[in-house]
Amino acid sequence: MTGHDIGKDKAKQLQLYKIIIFGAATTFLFIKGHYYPPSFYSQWQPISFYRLLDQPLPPGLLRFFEWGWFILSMATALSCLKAPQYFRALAKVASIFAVIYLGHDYNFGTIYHGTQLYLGVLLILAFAPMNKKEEQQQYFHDRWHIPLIKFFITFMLFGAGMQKLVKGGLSWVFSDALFIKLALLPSHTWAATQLLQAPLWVFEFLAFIILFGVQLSAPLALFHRTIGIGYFILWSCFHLGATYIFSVGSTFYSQIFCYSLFLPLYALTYKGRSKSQN
Amino acid sequence: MMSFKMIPLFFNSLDLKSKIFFVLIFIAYASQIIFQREDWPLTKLSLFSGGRFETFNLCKISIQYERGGKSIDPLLLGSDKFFIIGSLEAMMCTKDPTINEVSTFLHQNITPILVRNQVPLSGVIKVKRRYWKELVYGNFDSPEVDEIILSETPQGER
Repeated sequence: MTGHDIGKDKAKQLQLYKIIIFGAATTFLFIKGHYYPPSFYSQWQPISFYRLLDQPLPPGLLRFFEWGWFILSMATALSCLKAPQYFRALAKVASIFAVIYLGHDYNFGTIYHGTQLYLGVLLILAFAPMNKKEEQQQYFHDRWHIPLIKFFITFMLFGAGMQKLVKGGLSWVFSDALFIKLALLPSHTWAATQLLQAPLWVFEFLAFIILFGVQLSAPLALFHRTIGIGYFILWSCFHLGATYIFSVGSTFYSQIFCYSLFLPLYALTYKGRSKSQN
Repeated sequence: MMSFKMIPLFFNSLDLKSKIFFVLIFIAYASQIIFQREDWPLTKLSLFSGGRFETFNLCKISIQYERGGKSIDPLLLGSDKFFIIGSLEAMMCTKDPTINEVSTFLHQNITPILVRNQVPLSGVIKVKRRYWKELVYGNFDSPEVDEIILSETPQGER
C-alpha cells in the first residue's frame, strides 16, 4: 500500500466518522430526547455564560434549537457525501445549536457528562483548523483531526481516572466507595440488586478495572490499531454495564459513537474500491 | 505501531494555527481536572463522579409508581430524575415537609411525566426516605431510621 493509499484511507475514515457523529449519534440523542420537567423554570440557577440570561430560554425557542440542531446535523452528514465544500459551514452552525440546546439541559450551562464527549467531538470537527503545512491535496488538510480526536477521547477518559485519584486517591478502589455509590442509587435494577449482595472484594475489583483498565490506561489505545479496537470494545462494554448496573441512562451510548474512530471504518469501502480498480 | 517518538513528529507536522488549537483545547480540558471550576461549561468530566463526596448526604429518596400491584420501572429517567429526585431530596432530607407539601410537589412534577409517557393515571406513587448515620459496606440493608412511605395517587384518578 502506498503513502497515497494510506492518505486516502485516512480521508475516508474521517468522512465516515463525520457521518457517524453528525448523522447516527445526533439521531440517537435526538430520538432519545432531553426532557424538561415543569420544575425546570422554577429551579433556574444558571452558571457559566447562562448567567447572562435573566431566565431560561422559552420552550418555543428551545424547541427551535433542538430541531435546528437535528436538521442541520443531518444536512452536515449529507454534505459529507454530496457537497463536502459546505461541511464546515453547516457543521459550525449545527454544533453551536447543539451546545445551546444540550448545554441548556440538566445543569443550566454545564454540559452533562453523558453528552460532553459528543459535543467536544462535534466542536473539533467543526472548528479545528485545517493543517496548511500538509502539502498534499486539499482533502488531506483535515486528516490531522483523526489523531486530535483520538487524543481528545483518551485524554477525557484518562482525566476521568485522574479526577478520581485527585479526589479520592486509591481509596476509590480499595474501599467500599463503589458499593456506596451503588447502594445510594434511588432505585436498583435486577443486576444491581444481585451485585449488592456480593462480597466487598467484587466492588474493589470492579473499581480497579474501571480506574486502571478503562480510564487511566486509555492513552494506550493510541499506540496500535488493534489495541485501539480492543479499547473500543472495553469502553463500549463499560457503558453497557454502567447502564444495566448503575442506571446511568443510555445518554452515554453517544460516547460509543465517538469511540468508533478507533475502528478501521475505511475498511468498509475496500470492497467498492477493489471492484472499481478491477 | 506508534511510538513516543512519533508525538513530536506529529506535532511538528502541524502549522501554527493547528498547534495553538491543539494546545488550547488540552489546556482548557486539563484545567478542569486540576481546578474543577464549577462555572465552566465542560466541568462534568468524570464518567463516574470521583471520590465519595456523594456519601456525605446519607438521606436518599426513591420514587416508585405502582399500578395493579406492579411497579412501573423506570418511572424517571435523564433530566427528570436529576431534577425531581434532587428536588425531593432537598425538600425531604433538609426540612420536614408535611404530607400535603410532598403530595403537591408530586402532582405538579410527576403527573405531567405520566401523561407524556402515556402511563394511565390510576396508580400509586410511593416515596421512600432512607437514612444512615454512617453508611458502610454491610449496613446498607438496615437504615438507622425506618423507611417512610408516602402513598399518593396522581391527579386525575377517579
